[in-house]
Amino acid sequence: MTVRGWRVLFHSPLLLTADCSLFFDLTVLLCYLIAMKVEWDGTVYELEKRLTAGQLLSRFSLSPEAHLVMADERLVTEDYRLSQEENVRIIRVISGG
Amino acid sequence: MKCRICGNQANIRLSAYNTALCNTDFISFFERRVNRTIQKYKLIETNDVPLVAVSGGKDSLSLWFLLTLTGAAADGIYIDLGIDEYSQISFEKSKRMAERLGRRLYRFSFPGLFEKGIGELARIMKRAPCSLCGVVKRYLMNRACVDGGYTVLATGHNLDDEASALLGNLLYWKEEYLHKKGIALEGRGTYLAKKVKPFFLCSEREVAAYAILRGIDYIYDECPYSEGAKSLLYKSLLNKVEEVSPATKIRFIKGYMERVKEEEVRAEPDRCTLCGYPSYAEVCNFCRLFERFGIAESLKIESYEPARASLQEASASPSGL
Repeated sequence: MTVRGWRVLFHSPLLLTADCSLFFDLTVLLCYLIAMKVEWDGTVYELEKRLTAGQLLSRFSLSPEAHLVMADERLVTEDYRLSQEENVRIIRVISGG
Repeated sequence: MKCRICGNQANIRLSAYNTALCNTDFISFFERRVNRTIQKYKLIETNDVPLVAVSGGKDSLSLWFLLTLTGAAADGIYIDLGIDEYSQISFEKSKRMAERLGRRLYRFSFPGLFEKGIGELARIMKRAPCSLCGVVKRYLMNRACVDGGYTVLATGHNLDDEASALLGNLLYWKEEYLHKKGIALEGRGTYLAKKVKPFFLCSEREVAAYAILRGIDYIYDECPYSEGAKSLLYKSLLNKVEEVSPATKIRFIKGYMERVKEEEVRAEPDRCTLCGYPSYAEVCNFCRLFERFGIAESLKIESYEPARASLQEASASPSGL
């Protein structure tokens, strides 16, 4: 479940005591912040850390000469720090044939 | 990063020019640059009537848009290669641009004439699809240009296309192709149209950014036959060099232009004995294709003419510029 960029997980490990007589149900609520969602090549990726557009391209091993980064349908330069509220998209600019 | 002209937040960095620009200034820079290239190399002159080779991709649609915006009465020609969904989508994008610009779009359909797509035709002819595609596109576009009374055929080849092709020709020393990659190829009489490449000095990244900023709806998908194409490998290699040493691609191409000007050796093509259009053999490849499939009917190029759009409407950008 994701609420405003926070990923919420319920984790319920069962612990068994040495004599097998008791069970402890420890339901743990785990929350962590999803820093960014990025659409690339038809797939949406979730990244835990906020990155600049240049770092994002490096993370995917993409050349800045062959790709453009868009944040909320706006072109951004490599030093632009992307935020979790933005819809980030990587566009391949090279075509072949 | 700030825009070098207005000081606002930049939207694109142009490492080859050691600069960064905002959306508005990038559009002005790009259009000015293309217009300067057209004037400097006399690609399209005042009395010219250009025909644009349109594929539905970013380069050809941006070129058609830009030429129309700058006042050239340019129509388009689209070759339907019969590659399933890819051809349908790319034709739709081309048609939408024709409507936006209010210009005529010609269409030649492979399945319409041969009842087969380029893939099957290539298999029958024992040729690679890309090689056959090149042959038929060159023939049909030249013929549509000559027969339709257009004086110049404009294609969307960009800096990356030209640099990668040049690298490929040099790596294998294909000297016979080296002199054919210029920014303009002059026409011959009434059978070979003049061909020009106004985006010759613009990188693929710049053209893509222009298409996005002008709200040009182009096909993102690759032609399925381009998978594994060597041109993609050469482009990727050149981009790696460009990252380390900006402006390498443009220096490579400009150096080529200076050298090819000096040599200027061109083999004159003969004319096909059947159709009369350019051919290095007695019968051109296209007529051979007709013979192979027993097609006697003449070439049919459909024409789609949308209602005229006003130029102001055409230049309005959905990106709100």
